[in-house]
Amino acid sequence: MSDDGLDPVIHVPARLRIVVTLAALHDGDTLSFARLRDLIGLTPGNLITHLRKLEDIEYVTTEKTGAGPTAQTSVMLTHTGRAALDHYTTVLRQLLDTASHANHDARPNPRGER
Amino acid sequence: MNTGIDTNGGSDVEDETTMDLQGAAAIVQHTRERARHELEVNYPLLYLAWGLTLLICYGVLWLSVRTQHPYHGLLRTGVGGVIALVGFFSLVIRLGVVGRAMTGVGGHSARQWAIFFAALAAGSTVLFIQAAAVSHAGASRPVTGVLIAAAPMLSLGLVFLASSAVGLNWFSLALGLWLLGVAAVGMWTGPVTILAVYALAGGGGFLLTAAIQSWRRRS
Repeated sequence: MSDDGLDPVIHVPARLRIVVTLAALHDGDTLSFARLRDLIGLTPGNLITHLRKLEDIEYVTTEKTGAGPTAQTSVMLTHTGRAALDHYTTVLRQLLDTASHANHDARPNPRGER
Repeated sequence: MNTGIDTNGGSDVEDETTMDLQGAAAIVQHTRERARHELEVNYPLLYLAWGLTLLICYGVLWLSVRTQHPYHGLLRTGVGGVIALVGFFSLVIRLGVVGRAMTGVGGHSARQWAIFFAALAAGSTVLFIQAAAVSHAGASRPVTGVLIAAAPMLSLGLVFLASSAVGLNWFSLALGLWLLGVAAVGMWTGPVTILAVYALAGGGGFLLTAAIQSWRRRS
């Protein structure tokens, strides 16, 4: 965890988009590499790199079926990954609330100015 | 555990840009909305397509037999036209509505949809075979006509009713019960009026469900 409590693996734009996209699927569903790439808008190379990082900490699993030109890779968000995203969004919401209150408190009081 | 990913061409520079809290929240919201829009089946559109299929197909069949006195059976042109329409709408539903959301999606949901369409096809086929067998055994044309007309409606009702148990979908449950009720009531109206009842009440049930779901989505 980073100092602010946000998961540093997810707290990267590309990986956040990957995890949120996969979380939109029902539990146990997989998404093909090609469709994920189209939805996220990353190059294949970039997507592979980010998926590897997510695989290393078991947030996603990938499975390759078939061989040659018909080979297909599918990606699935694990329970660990789903829980990590839930925790990430909860912490993010709390941090935004805290920041919002801090800004509100820091604003000069109009009565005090008179 | 990096099995499965083809690393060929993976030479791009990875983007490790960090972001502020507002940026992260915006990414979460935007990506979630886009993923839902792309990956979730548009149920109002699905029910609209089902409703139009029933309305038009049963309507065409009714128009082809409504002037028959006495009733001597469905006309071949009417049946042929309906089969073509059912094929067309099935393709629209399978590819246009469900297929769009399910492209690239595997696992549990894909299997559920495959079983749903297989159950519908198998149920209708068996009920059509039953009508043919009853006709072969000597049943009159009006009796056979009623059984043929009821086959898709019964099949749809039972499949929607059974599928409602999978995800406790109350819309499917209500629709399944409605379709079975329409199927049962329609059978008492005779081989001609049954087609009009199924077109209006069966198709109308789907169209009403589509309207309610669309309204719920927006509110």
